[in-house]
Formats: sequence, structure tokens, C-alpha cells
Amino acid sequence: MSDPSLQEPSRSRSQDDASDVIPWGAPVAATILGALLMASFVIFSVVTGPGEAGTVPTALPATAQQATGFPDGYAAVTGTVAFRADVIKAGSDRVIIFVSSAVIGGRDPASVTLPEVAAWSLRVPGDEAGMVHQYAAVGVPGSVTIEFDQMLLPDSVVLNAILPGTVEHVTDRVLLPGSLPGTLSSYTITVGDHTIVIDELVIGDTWGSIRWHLEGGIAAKVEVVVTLDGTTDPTVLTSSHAAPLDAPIGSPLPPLWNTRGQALLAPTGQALSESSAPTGITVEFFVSVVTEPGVSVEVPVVSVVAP
Amino acid sequence: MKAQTVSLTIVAFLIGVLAAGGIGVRVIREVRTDDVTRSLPGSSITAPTYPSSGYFVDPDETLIASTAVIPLSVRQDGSSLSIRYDLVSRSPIAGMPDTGPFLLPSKWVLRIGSTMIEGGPADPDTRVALFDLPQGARAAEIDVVEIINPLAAYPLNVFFGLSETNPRVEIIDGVSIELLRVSEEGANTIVHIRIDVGDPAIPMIWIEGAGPGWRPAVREAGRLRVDLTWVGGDLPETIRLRAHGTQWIEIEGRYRVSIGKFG
Repeated sequence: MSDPSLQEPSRSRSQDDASDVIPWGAPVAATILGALLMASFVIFSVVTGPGEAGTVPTALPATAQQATGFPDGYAAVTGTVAFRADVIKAGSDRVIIFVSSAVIGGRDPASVTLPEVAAWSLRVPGDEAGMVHQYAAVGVPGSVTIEFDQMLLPDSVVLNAILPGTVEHVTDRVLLPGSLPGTLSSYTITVGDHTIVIDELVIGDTWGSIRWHLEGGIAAKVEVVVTLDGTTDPTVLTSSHAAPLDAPIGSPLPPLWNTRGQALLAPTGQALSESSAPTGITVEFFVSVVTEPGVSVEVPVVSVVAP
Repeated sequence: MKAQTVSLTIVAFLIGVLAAGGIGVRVIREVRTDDVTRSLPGSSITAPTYPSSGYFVDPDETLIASTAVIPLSVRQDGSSLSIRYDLVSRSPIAGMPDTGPFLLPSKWVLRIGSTMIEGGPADPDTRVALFDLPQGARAAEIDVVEIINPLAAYPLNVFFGLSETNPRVEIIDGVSIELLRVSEEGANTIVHIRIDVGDPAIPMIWIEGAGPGWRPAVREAGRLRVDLTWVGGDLPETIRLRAHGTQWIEIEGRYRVSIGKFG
């Protein structure tokens, strides 16, 4: 026989336990409902894009909100840099385009690098042209001037910046006799399915020049280092940046992508041996070729100036 | 439903919302980063907007291309009014020398009532716009200040030829190159060149030989003259040269400048 005094408390505890059991069904359902509602909101935000009421910008911290803009009329080519064609000038024998760049709001321009553009294309109704070349200058970092062969320019023009996609690199070496001036012409360097043609390389005691062009491919950079061998202090000539057709020798400017180039060579370093006759000449070519295009971005045009 | 259950349900609902929201924000950021950096068909590019602050460099900036013109002070001395300003570029310059000036707001106009007064800086390095006000006019009465058709600097690269019969060539608007003389120094030939530029915009221009036979050029310090050394034998009848550096290009438009805070 059980002791009622023991059963009662036991039963009492059992009843209390029963009354403390939480009905988890409602909270679990509420969790799922809340998640579903927010998921629906997220999907709506992604589909409708920025600028819609109640989308992500309101949820981002203030610092992120400040870094959302470029100056008027600029088109983003990367997440941090945008381009704009400020002026197009149509001359008698060529079209010249002046492009400026801008860093996104909230970023220090000194911490952002100008994106490389492999090639530019200019499209007008019924016609399209690729650039002849592009060049930069020390005094105007962030600006690029582009040249096209002469073409009719109606009001409607579309400028596209084609970023580098696949890039291949090749180093090539040629040994020449020591007699000066040394020359090399129509020399080819193969890069994948593409060919760099060294149209003319002329080497003097402390001077030289190079001219090259690309066959196939999107664009190339060609740098050359010439060493006059057999002297105690060999003379080294370099174009520094032979490719861009723009930079003064020794300029800190990075080379730009082009389909052809021409530059003078100059001595580098302190050791010069102008009066010494070399026993041989070593020519090293450092070649890069954009073999496949990357993203193409339409760059807004502000004004077209007729000749 | 007991109060405890109701509370738990509300908390659970909020947990669900917050958890899905946290994931959602990351999803949206990823999607929009992709939009900006990798998927940029030209037709999808829209006119950009200012940062939420409403400016890039200074609340009183005037943006011309990617350069901010920032008024620093307005000073009146009798009928002479000067607006001192700064120029801050928003171009990416990582790894490159920061040089300037890159913008020349050469023509300014201010309006007092129906009177228009023209002014401007004397040269690219003088970041002060000067005006001669009408008798009795005060700076506080200025209604509008504008920059008209400013000049911006862009890279220059021009090939050209000079000869005794054609000793002067205008390579770009306002900039001519002149063959001064040719002299002999030992086995070398020195070609003396002068760069003739318009006032006030003096661009940075270098001249060098084009093609084989030329040593690097030497620019005479402080003068717009260049000596080119030819070592390629007999000097060709037409001397092929290259000009490079920067040039000023006019950007058409009227850009209003805010000087209200100096009033």
C-alpha cells in the first residue's frame, strides 16, 4: 500500500511538470514564418535591384553608403574606378578621344590604381573602328588619349573599353654581332597563335630605336633591353616603356596596351662605355599579349567636337 | 496561449527574421558586387550618383569632369575681388606621381543683378580668380559665380616634320614648333627647336626625334627650347620629330561655384 503522503507530492510534481511543458509548435512556426518573410524580402530586393524602397542600402553601415557614387556621367569599369569620354575631336585624318577617370566616393585616389584597358572600339551606325593607339602622360595620371583612324562621326557614337581577358607572356633573346650600329628587322616573336613583329631595331653606342606591331591578338606590350657585351661596364639600353608610344624615357608611367609601338632607346644606370667597341650585342624582348578580350564596358561620351 | 508562449513565439519570429536577414544582406552584397565588377554590358550603365553625403571632397565643391573646384576664400579690396580656390583630382593615382595642374578654369563670370563681370586666373598655377567689380558693388551682392568652358589636361602624342622650307608647324591648337637652326658638333648634328605656346595655358611638352639616329633630347633649363642630337649620318631633308606630354582641351559647359558661405 502506498503512502498517500508520498503519492501526493509525487503526483503534485507530475502535474506541475505537465503544466510547464512549452508548446514549441508556435515558436518554431513563428521562426519559420519570420525567415520566410525575410527571404521573400531578400529575393524581392535582388530582383528589383538597388534604389528600391527598403533595399540593402538602408541596411548597410553609413560608411558603405557613402561609397556608392561616381561623378556625373562616369561609367564604372571596376568596382572602384569609372571612365568618361570628356571630348571627342574629329580631325581631318584621325579621331582623338580624351578620357578621364574617377574613383568611387569614399576612396582615396592615392590608394586606387587605374585599370588597364586592352583596347578601345568606336561604333557609329554602320561602322566600327578599333583604336590606332592609346597613350598616357606623366602630368595627367588617370587620363588617357585614344586615337582612331578617320571616320565620320554622327551625333550617335558608342565608345567601348575592352579590359584584358587572357594575357600571355614571352621572353625572347637575340645575339647580334658587335659592330655598330646593330640592326634587326622583320624579326618575329610567337606568342601562342599570335605574332609580334619587330619591324626595326637599330642600336648605336648610347642610343637606339625600336618599332613593332602585333599580328592577331587584342593588344601587346613590348619592352626591350639591349646590352653591349664585352666591355668592363657594358652599356645597357632600354626603351623603358616602348609599348605606349607615349612615355618619355625613364618615365614612371606604366606601359599601356597597344597594337603597335615605337620608341627611342636610352642608356640606363651609371655605367656607360661610349668609346668601347662591344664584342657582341644581346637583345632581350619582354612581350605580353592579350590573347582573349575581357569585359567590354560602354564609356559615356560627353561631347563630340567637329573639325 | 499563455503569456510565456506568446513571448517565446515573438522572440522566435524575430530570430527567424534576423537570421534570414543576415544571410540576405550578404547575398544582396554579393549579387550587386558582381553587377559592378564583372557584368557591365554598356546598356546597363546608368548615370552615377553622388555619395549620400552629396559631395566627394567638400560640401562647396564644383565638380568638373573628375576634378573638384573648392572655393577657399573671397576677398574684396576696393573694386578688386579675388576668389581663391583649390583643385582636387578624383582620378586614381596609386603608383603614379601626383602632378598638376590638371584643370584650368581660365574663364570665370559673376553676376550682380543684371551686370556680368568676367574674370579668371592668370595662369594654371595661380588658383585665384580675379574680378574688377563695378564702382560701389560689394561681394555680398553677387548673385551667381560660374566657370565657363574650363580647360582640362590630357596626354599628347604627335608626330610631325620640320624642314628649312617648312620650319614651323602648329602641332595642336595654340602650340607651334619652330626649327631655329642646325649646327655641327664633331660628328654629330644638333637640331635646335623652340616650342611656341599660347598664353596663359602653357602645357608640358617634350620634343624628341622619331626613328633611329637620334639621341635622347636635352631641354634647355627654364626655356621652351630643345636641342636634339642626330647621329644617323646626313640629316634628312625633312626632320621627323615627336611631341609628347600634355595638352589643354576645352570642356564645354557652365559650372556654378558656391561662395555663399563667405558672404
